[in-house]
Amino acid sequence: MNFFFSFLVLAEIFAVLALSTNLLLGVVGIFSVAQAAIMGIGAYTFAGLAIAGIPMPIALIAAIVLCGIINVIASLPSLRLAGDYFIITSFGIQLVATAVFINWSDVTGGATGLSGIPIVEIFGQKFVRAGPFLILSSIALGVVSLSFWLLMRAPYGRLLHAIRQDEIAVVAAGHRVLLAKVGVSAVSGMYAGVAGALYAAYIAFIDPASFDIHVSILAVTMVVVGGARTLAGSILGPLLLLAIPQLLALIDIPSTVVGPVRQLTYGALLIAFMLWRPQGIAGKSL
Amino acid sequence: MAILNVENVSKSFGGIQALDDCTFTVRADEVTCVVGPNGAGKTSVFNVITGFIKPDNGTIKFDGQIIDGLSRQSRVHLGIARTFQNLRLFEEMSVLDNVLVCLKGREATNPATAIFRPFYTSAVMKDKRERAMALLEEVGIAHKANDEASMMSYGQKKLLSIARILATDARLLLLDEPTSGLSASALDNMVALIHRLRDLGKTLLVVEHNTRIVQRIADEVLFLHRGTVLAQGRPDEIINNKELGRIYFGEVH
Repeated sequence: MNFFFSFLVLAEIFAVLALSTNLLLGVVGIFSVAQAAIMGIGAYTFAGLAIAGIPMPIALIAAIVLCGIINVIASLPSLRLAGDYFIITSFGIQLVATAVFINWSDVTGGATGLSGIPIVEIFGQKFVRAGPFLILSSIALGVVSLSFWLLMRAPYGRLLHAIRQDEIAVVAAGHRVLLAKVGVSAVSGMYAGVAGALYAAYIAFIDPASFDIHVSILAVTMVVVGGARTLAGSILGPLLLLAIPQLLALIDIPSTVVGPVRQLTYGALLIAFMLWRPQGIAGKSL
Repeated sequence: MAILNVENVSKSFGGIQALDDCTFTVRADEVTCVVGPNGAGKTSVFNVITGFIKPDNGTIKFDGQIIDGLSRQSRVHLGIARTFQNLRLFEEMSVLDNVLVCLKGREATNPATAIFRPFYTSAVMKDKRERAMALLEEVGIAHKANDEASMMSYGQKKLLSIARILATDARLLLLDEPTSGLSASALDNMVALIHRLRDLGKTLLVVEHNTRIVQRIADEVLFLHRGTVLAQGRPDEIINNKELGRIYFGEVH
């Protein structure tokens, strides 16, 4: 049972990351492959502060705020660059972030990672095992999902969809595209910060590989497979994609090929969905 | 009374002089048609008025106020709105949503309000929906409100592009070829709508190629050639001027 709860906790954490990616990639059309880097910044911030003895709620808020700010800065080039060029820019941002996680060892623990992250404790209750932690991750996913839904139904959400389709027409209607994009980047960054802090608190150990380019691409795959622009898609995508390694574990294959087979499966899924169901499971077309 | 004064405006792109010392006025509550051969600078005139291109020289006044330094958005808020030749609809959105995005008033168009003031946002949405529906009624496509914009006929798309600029509540409407490509019945519809908008107190500046339609809708005509206003006057004067006719239709030997 613990095994199953653990899977659910991770799926929920990645659902939060998928919603962060969905806001940029699906809704407003900023194709970013750097969301894992932002999640990493959230994780390291939360872990570093918690290890230093800062109360966890404050560490969480610090991680969220910092990620919001950094994601705005990271997204700024997209205001000048047309869609395809920003992919390259965000790829660069991801690589720089990974390099920093590896080399700024005084703060991040370097390639060996950061361990000894304190256990979450609320009213004397310790959240060590997956079962109780599932309550925390469910609350976090609930809050993030609710805010995503509120954004999408509001005039602001409609404005974001309009920006994706035709920025010139949005300007001609008297709206400030820059302001809207800064707002959505901030929210997306905050979501990634929540995902990072949850991840650090749950696993209690983080290293640069937890937030590298593969994880960013995994988040994009989750959004595409689940269904871009939809709330349900960003929850279904992580559930399905994280189930794949669990299912592979049931098959009797050598442990050395499990990693490559997993990557292969993700790649094949991405291609298959692009060819036959570009709108994803729950979604509307990208 | 003049609502728009374009004074000595010039714009060149590389070696091409799109606008050359262009000067004209648009009177309030009238329909002014811009005519001229291809490449005369008609769309460039729209672009400098709405701030989509910055002129090299010259001044533009709207309602007596110089607007040269204003952003595109500020000009919309002042009361100048435009359509595009290629319409630029939000094709994947519903007809109603297309109008809602363009509706005047930026309430609840930021993430903090959307998330932290849900009830206020709901009230704003209800109000906006009613206003948008009224505009769709006005242009005659209210029955299509929930259809995706891409599913509409070309004529209906043109009506939607007009509903969108009405949504900005602008007083000066710049229509770029509103009648091109329309069937006969859709064309009559459009002409009637233009008359109705003028009667509602809107000022219209319209790029129009067809001289018969110009005679049906225009109070005033601007004849543009090589970026300069060659003549401005009442429709009959301009259309019956043989010299202008030669320029417009090409030399006839």
